[in-house]
Amino acid sequence: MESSDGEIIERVLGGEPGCFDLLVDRHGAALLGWLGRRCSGREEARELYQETWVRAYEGLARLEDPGRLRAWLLGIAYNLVGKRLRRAGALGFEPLGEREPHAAEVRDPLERAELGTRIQAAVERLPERQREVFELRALVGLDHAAVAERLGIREDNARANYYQAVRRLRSELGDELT
Amino acid sequence: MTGANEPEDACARVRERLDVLLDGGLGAVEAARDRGHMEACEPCAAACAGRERWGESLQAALAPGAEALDFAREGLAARLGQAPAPRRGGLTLLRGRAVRRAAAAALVAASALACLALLDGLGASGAPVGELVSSAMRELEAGSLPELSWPPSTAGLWGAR
Repeated sequence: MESSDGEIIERVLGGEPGCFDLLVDRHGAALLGWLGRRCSGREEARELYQETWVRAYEGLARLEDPGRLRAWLLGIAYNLVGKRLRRAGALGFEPLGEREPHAAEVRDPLERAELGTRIQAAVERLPERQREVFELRALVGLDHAAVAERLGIREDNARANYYQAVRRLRSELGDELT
Repeated sequence: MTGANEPEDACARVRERLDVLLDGGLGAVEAARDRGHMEACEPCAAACAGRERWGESLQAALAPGAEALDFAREGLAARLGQAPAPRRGGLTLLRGRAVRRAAAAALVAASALACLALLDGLGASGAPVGELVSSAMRELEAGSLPELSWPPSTAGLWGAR
Protein backbone atom coordinates (compact mmCIF):
# COMPACT_ATOMS: atom_id res chain seq x y z
CA MET A 1 0.00 0.00 0.00
CA GLU A 2 1.24 3.46 -0.84
CA SER A 3 2.50 5.49 2.10
CA SER A 4 0.60 8.62 2.98
CA ASP A 5 2.30 12.00 2.94
CA GLY A 6 2.22 11.95 6.72
CA GLU A 7 4.03 8.63 6.91
CA ILE A 8 6.68 9.79 4.48
CA ILE A 9 7.18 13.01 6.41
CA GLU A 10 7.57 11.04 9.62
CA ARG A 11 10.28 8.99 8.01
CA VAL A 12 12.10 12.05 6.71
CA LEU A 13 11.96 13.70 10.13
CA GLY A 14 12.94 10.44 11.75
CA GLY A 15 16.28 10.41 9.95
CA GLU A 16 15.54 9.11 6.46
CA PRO A 17 16.00 12.27 4.38
CA GLY A 18 16.09 10.24 1.16
CA CYS A 19 12.37 9.60 1.51
CA PHE A 20 11.78 13.24 0.62
CA ASP A 21 12.14 12.20 -3.02
CA LEU A 22 8.85 10.36 -2.70
CA LEU A 23 7.13 13.66 -1.96
CA VAL A 24 8.85 15.30 -4.91
CA ASP A 25 7.64 12.45 -7.13
CA ARG A 26 4.13 12.76 -5.83
CA HIS A 27 3.65 16.52 -5.86
CA GLY A 28 6.27 17.74 -8.30
CA ALA A 29 4.08 17.79 -11.41
CA ALA A 30 1.31 19.78 -9.74
CA LEU A 31 3.79 22.28 -8.38
CA LEU A 32 5.63 22.66 -11.68
CA GLY A 33 2.34 22.90 -13.56
CA TRP A 34 1.36 25.87 -11.45
CA LEU A 35 4.79 27.49 -11.47
CA GLY A 36 5.11 27.02 -15.20
CA ARG A 37 2.03 29.14 -15.68
CA ARG A 38 3.42 31.89 -13.47
CA CYS A 39 6.96 32.15 -14.72
CA SER A 40 8.42 33.82 -17.76
CA GLY A 41 10.59 30.91 -18.82
CA ARG A 42 11.55 27.37 -18.01
CA GLU A 43 14.76 28.45 -16.29
CA GLU A 44 12.83 30.66 -13.94
CA ALA A 45 10.26 27.94 -13.37
CA ARG A 46 13.01 25.49 -12.53
CA GLU A 47 14.69 27.90 -10.15
CA LEU A 48 11.47 28.56 -8.25
CA TYR A 49 10.52 24.90 -8.35
CA GLN A 50 13.79 23.88 -6.75
CA GLU A 51 13.75 26.73 -4.27
CA THR A 52 10.26 25.70 -3.19
CA TRP A 53 11.39 22.14 -2.55
CA VAL A 54 14.52 23.19 -0.69
CA ARG A 55 12.51 25.48 1.59
CA ALA A 56 9.93 22.79 2.13
CA TYR A 57 12.65 20.33 3.03
CA GLU A 58 14.28 22.68 5.50
CA GLY A 59 10.98 23.62 7.08
CA LEU A 60 9.32 20.22 7.00
CA ALA A 61 9.23 19.94 10.78
CA ARG A 62 7.06 23.06 10.89
CA LEU A 63 4.32 21.61 8.70
CA GLU A 64 1.36 21.30 11.05
CA ASP A 65 -0.93 19.10 9.02
CA PRO A 66 0.70 16.63 6.61
CA GLY A 67 -2.64 16.27 4.86
CA ARG A 68 -2.20 19.81 3.63
CA LEU A 69 1.27 19.32 2.22
CA ARG A 70 0.34 20.35 -1.29
CA ALA A 71 -1.38 23.51 -0.15
CA TRP A 72 1.65 24.26 2.01
CA LEU A 73 4.02 23.76 -0.92
CA LEU A 74 1.90 26.02 -3.01
CA GLY A 75 2.03 28.64 -0.27
CA ILE A 76 5.82 28.59 -0.43
CA ALA A 77 5.71 28.84 -4.22
CA TYR A 78 3.21 31.70 -4.01
CA ASN A 79 5.55 33.65 -1.78
CA LEU A 80 8.52 33.04 -4.03
CA VAL A 81 6.59 34.08 -7.13
CA GLY A 82 5.28 37.14 -5.29
CA LYS A 83 8.80 38.18 -4.33
CA ARG A 84 9.96 37.66 -7.87
CA LEU A 85 7.12 39.75 -9.23
CA ARG A 86 7.77 42.56 -6.78
CA ARG A 87 11.41 42.57 -7.68
CA ALA A 88 10.57 42.56 -11.37
CA GLY A 89 8.12 45.43 -10.76
CA ALA A 90 10.78 47.38 -8.92
CA LEU A 91 13.08 46.93 -11.89
CA GLY A 92 10.37 48.05 -14.28
CA PHE A 93 9.66 44.67 -15.85
CA GLU A 94 6.25 43.73 -17.08
CA PRO A 95 4.20 41.96 -14.40
CA LEU A 96 3.85 38.34 -15.39
CA GLY A 97 0.14 38.19 -14.68
CA GLU A 98 -0.65 40.67 -17.43
CA ARG A 99 1.27 39.02 -20.18
CA GLU A 100 -0.29 37.40 -23.17
CA PRO A 101 -0.60 33.61 -23.03
CA HIS A 102 2.81 32.27 -22.21
CA ALA A 103 2.26 28.92 -20.63
CA ALA A 104 2.91 26.84 -23.71
CA GLU A 105 6.33 28.32 -24.17
CA VAL A 106 7.13 27.67 -20.52
CA ARG A 107 5.66 24.40 -19.54
CA ASP A 108 7.29 21.99 -21.82
CA PRO A 109 10.47 22.10 -23.80
CA LEU A 110 8.87 19.86 -26.36
CA GLU A 111 6.80 21.46 -29.04
CA ARG A 112 3.19 21.44 -27.98
CA ALA A 113 0.53 20.06 -30.21
CA GLU A 114 -1.92 22.58 -31.61
CA LEU A 115 -4.66 21.32 -29.37
CA GLY A 116 -2.49 21.76 -26.29
CA THR A 117 -1.76 25.32 -27.29
CA ARG A 118 -5.44 26.02 -27.82
CA ILE A 119 -6.25 24.65 -24.40
CA GLN A 120 -3.55 26.77 -22.85
CA ALA A 121 -4.89 29.82 -24.59
CA ALA A 122 -8.45 29.07 -23.52
CA VAL A 123 -7.36 28.84 -19.89
CA GLU A 124 -5.45 32.09 -20.22
CA ARG A 125 -8.56 33.79 -21.55
CA LEU A 126 -10.61 32.91 -18.48
CA PRO A 127 -11.44 35.83 -16.21
CA GLU A 128 -8.64 36.17 -13.68
CA ARG A 129 -10.50 34.82 -10.66
CA GLN A 130 -11.88 31.86 -12.60
CA ARG A 131 -8.45 31.07 -13.95
CA GLU A 132 -6.84 31.19 -10.52
CA VAL A 133 -9.48 28.95 -9.05
CA PHE A 134 -9.38 26.56 -11.98
CA GLU A 135 -5.61 26.22 -11.83
CA LEU A 136 -5.56 25.58 -8.11
CA ARG A 137 -8.41 23.10 -8.24
CA ALA A 138 -7.89 21.24 -11.51
CA LEU A 139 -4.16 21.49 -12.00
CA VAL A 140 -2.74 21.67 -8.50
CA GLY A 141 -5.45 19.48 -7.03
CA LEU A 142 -6.35 21.54 -3.98
CA ASP A 143 -9.81 21.07 -2.51
CA HIS A 144 -12.20 24.00 -2.57
CA ALA A 145 -11.56 24.91 1.05
CA ALA A 146 -7.83 25.17 0.40
CA VAL A 147 -8.42 27.12 -2.81
CA ALA A 148 -10.66 29.54 -0.93
CA GLU A 149 -8.10 29.95 1.84
CA ARG A 150 -5.29 30.54 -0.61
CA LEU A 151 -7.20 33.20 -2.52
CA GLY A 152 -8.88 34.76 0.48
CA ILE A 153 -12.40 34.10 -0.76
CA ARG A 154 -15.35 32.08 0.51
CA GLU A 155 -15.54 28.40 -0.30
CA ASP A 156 -18.86 28.69 -2.15
CA ASN A 157 -17.34 31.49 -4.17
CA ALA A 158 -14.42 29.23 -5.08
CA ARG A 159 -16.81 26.48 -6.14
CA ALA A 160 -18.91 28.83 -8.25
CA ASN A 161 -15.85 30.22 -10.01
CA TYR A 162 -14.56 26.73 -10.68
CA TYR A 163 -17.80 25.51 -12.24
CA GLN A 164 -18.07 28.67 -14.33
CA ALA A 165 -14.51 28.15 -15.54
CA VAL A 166 -15.20 24.54 -16.50
CA ARG A 167 -18.35 25.51 -18.39
CA ARG A 168 -16.58 28.26 -20.19
CA LEU A 169 -13.72 26.02 -21.21
CA ARG A 170 -16.10 23.36 -22.42
CA SER A 171 -18.08 25.82 -24.46
CA GLU A 172 -14.87 27.16 -25.99
CA LEU A 173 -13.14 23.87 -26.59
CA GLY A 174 -16.20 21.77 -27.27
CA ASP A 175 -15.86 18.03 -27.16
CA GLU A 176 -12.64 17.88 -29.13
CA LEU A 177 -10.69 16.81 -26.08
CA THR A 178 -12.45 13.51 -25.87
CA MET B 1 -48.47 14.70 -16.25
CA THR B 2 -45.75 14.94 -13.66
CA GLY B 3 -45.11 11.27 -14.07
CA ALA B 4 -44.73 11.61 -17.83
CA ASN B 5 -42.25 14.47 -17.48
CA GLU B 6 -40.28 12.90 -14.70
CA PRO B 7 -37.60 11.09 -16.75
CA GLU B 8 -36.89 14.17 -18.82
CA ASP B 9 -36.76 16.30 -15.73
CA ALA B 10 -34.38 13.83 -14.14
CA CYS B 11 -32.16 13.83 -17.24
CA ALA B 12 -32.12 17.62 -17.28
CA ARG B 13 -31.29 17.72 -13.59
CA VAL B 14 -28.47 15.21 -13.92
CA ARG B 15 -26.95 16.88 -16.99
CA GLU B 16 -27.19 20.29 -15.40
CA ARG B 17 -25.10 19.31 -12.43
CA LEU B 18 -22.72 16.76 -13.89
CA ASP B 19 -19.73 19.00 -13.23
CA VAL B 20 -20.69 19.30 -9.59
CA LEU B 21 -21.22 15.57 -9.30
CA LEU B 22 -17.85 14.76 -10.83
CA ASP B 23 -16.21 17.35 -8.64
CA GLY B 24 -17.61 15.65 -5.55
CA GLY B 25 -19.66 18.72 -4.73
CA LEU B 26 -23.05 17.03 -4.42
CA GLY B 27 -24.21 15.77 -1.05
CA ALA B 28 -24.29 12.01 -0.55
CA VAL B 29 -28.05 11.75 -1.04
CA GLU B 30 -28.16 13.85 -4.20
CA ALA B 31 -25.11 12.11 -5.62
CA ALA B 32 -26.70 8.71 -5.01
CA ARG B 33 -29.89 9.96 -6.65
CA ASP B 34 -28.06 11.07 -9.80
CA ARG B 35 -25.94 7.94 -9.96
CA GLY B 36 -29.05 5.87 -9.51
CA HIS B 37 -30.64 7.66 -12.44
CA MET B 38 -27.61 7.01 -14.61
CA GLU B 39 -27.74 3.32 -13.90
CA ALA B 40 -31.04 3.24 -15.69
CA CYS B 41 -30.40 5.98 -18.24
CA GLU B 42 -27.82 5.16 -20.84
CA PRO B 43 -27.64 8.61 -22.48
CA CYS B 44 -26.99 10.29 -19.14
CA ALA B 45 -24.40 7.67 -18.21
CA ALA B 46 -22.67 8.26 -21.54
CA ALA B 47 -22.79 12.01 -21.00
CA CYS B 48 -21.23 11.57 -17.58
CA ALA B 49 -18.47 9.32 -18.90
CA GLY B 50 -17.77 11.79 -21.69
CA ARG B 51 -17.60 14.67 -19.26
CA GLU B 52 -15.21 12.73 -17.07
CA ARG B 53 -12.93 11.93 -20.01
CA TRP B 54 -13.03 15.56 -21.06
CA GLY B 55 -11.83 16.67 -17.65
CA GLU B 56 -9.05 14.11 -17.57
CA SER B 57 -7.89 15.08 -21.05
CA LEU B 58 -7.87 18.72 -20.10
CA GLN B 59 -5.77 18.05 -17.04
CA ALA B 60 -3.40 15.85 -19.02
CA ALA B 61 -3.00 18.51 -21.68
CA LEU B 62 -2.17 21.15 -19.09
CA ALA B 63 0.15 19.05 -16.94
CA PRO B 64 3.87 19.46 -17.47
CA GLY B 65 5.42 16.77 -19.62
CA ALA B 66 7.99 14.27 -18.42
CA GLU B 67 10.82 16.18 -20.04
CA ALA B 68 9.79 19.42 -18.39
CA LEU B 69 9.73 17.63 -15.05
CA ASP B 70 13.16 16.12 -15.63
CA PHE B 71 14.51 19.53 -16.56
CA ALA B 72 13.05 21.17 -13.47
CA ARG B 73 14.37 18.45 -11.22
CA GLU B 74 17.87 18.44 -12.59
CA GLY B 75 20.25 19.35 -9.78
CA LEU B 76 17.55 19.31 -7.10
CA ALA B 77 18.97 16.26 -5.36
CA ALA B 78 22.32 18.02 -4.97
CA ARG B 79 20.65 21.11 -3.51
CA LEU B 80 18.65 19.04 -1.09
CA GLY B 81 21.81 17.19 -0.13
CA GLN B 82 23.45 20.47 0.86
CA ALA B 83 20.47 21.65 2.89
CA PRO B 84 20.35 20.79 6.59
CA ALA B 85 18.32 17.64 7.09
CA PRO B 86 15.01 18.37 8.78
CA ARG B 87 14.75 16.93 12.25
CA ARG B 88 11.97 16.94 14.70
CA GLY B 89 13.05 19.14 17.60
CA GLY B 90 11.53 19.17 21.08
CA LEU B 91 9.07 21.93 20.27
CA THR B 92 8.10 20.50 16.94
CA LEU B 93 6.85 17.40 18.70
CA LEU B 94 3.91 19.64 19.54
CA ARG B 95 2.49 19.40 16.04
CA GLY B 96 -0.98 20.52 15.28
CA ARG B 97 -2.97 23.44 16.55
CA ALA B 98 -5.05 21.46 18.99
CA VAL B 99 -2.00 20.03 20.71
CA ARG B 100 -0.34 23.41 20.87
CA ARG B 101 -3.47 25.05 22.24
CA ALA B 102 -3.75 22.41 24.93
CA ALA B 103 -0.09 22.89 25.80
CA ALA B 104 -0.55 26.67 25.97
CA ALA B 105 -3.60 26.29 28.22
CA ALA B 106 -1.67 23.95 30.50
CA LEU B 107 1.18 26.44 30.63
CA VAL B 108 -1.15 29.31 31.56
CA ALA B 109 -2.81 27.20 34.25
CA ALA B 110 0.55 26.17 35.66
CA SER B 111 1.71 29.81 35.70
CA ALA B 112 -1.46 30.90 37.49
CA LEU B 113 -1.00 28.18 40.11
CA ALA B 114 2.61 29.17 40.58
CA CYS B 115 1.60 32.83 41.08
CA LEU B 116 -1.05 31.87 43.63
CA ALA B 117 1.40 29.68 45.49
CA LEU B 118 3.91 32.52 45.48
CA LEU B 119 1.35 35.02 46.78
CA ASP B 120 0.13 32.57 49.31
CA GLY B 121 3.59 32.17 50.70
CA LEU B 122 4.54 35.85 50.51
CA GLY B 123 1.60 37.80 51.94
CA ALA B 124 2.54 41.37 52.86
CA SER B 125 2.37 40.64 56.54
CA GLY B 126 4.10 37.38 56.17
CA ALA B 127 0.78 35.57 56.57
CA PRO B 128 -0.54 33.37 53.79
CA VAL B 129 -3.08 35.08 51.49
CA GLY B 130 -5.86 32.73 52.56
CA GLU B 131 -5.30 33.77 56.16
CA LEU B 132 -5.31 37.47 55.24
CA VAL B 133 -8.62 37.10 53.42
CA SER B 134 -10.17 35.28 56.38
CA SER B 135 -8.92 37.97 58.72
CA ALA B 136 -10.35 40.73 56.52
CA MET B 137 -13.70 38.95 56.40
CA ARG B 138 -13.77 38.73 60.17
CA GLU B 139 -12.96 42.45 60.51
CA LEU B 140 -15.61 43.27 57.91
CA GLU B 141 -18.22 41.34 59.81
CA ALA B 142 -17.16 43.04 63.03
CA GLY B 143 -17.38 46.46 61.33
CA SER B 144 -13.81 47.35 62.17
CA LEU B 145 -12.62 47.87 58.58
CA PRO B 146 -12.30 51.55 57.51
CA GLU B 147 -15.20 52.80 55.36
CA LEU B 148 -14.45 53.03 51.66
CA SER B 149 -15.27 56.29 49.89
CA TRP B 150 -15.83 56.97 46.17
CA PRO B 151 -14.06 58.51 44.44
CA PRO B 152 -11.21 57.25 46.51
CA SER B 153 -9.21 59.93 48.22
CA THR B 154 -5.56 60.19 47.32
CA ALA B 155 -4.77 62.45 50.21
CA GLY B 156 -3.39 59.66 52.24
CA LEU B 157 -1.27 58.48 49.42
CA TRP B 158 0.34 61.69 48.21
CA GLY B 159 -0.38 64.13 51.05
CA ALA B 160 1.72 65.25 53.95
CA ARG B 161 5.16 65.50 52.56
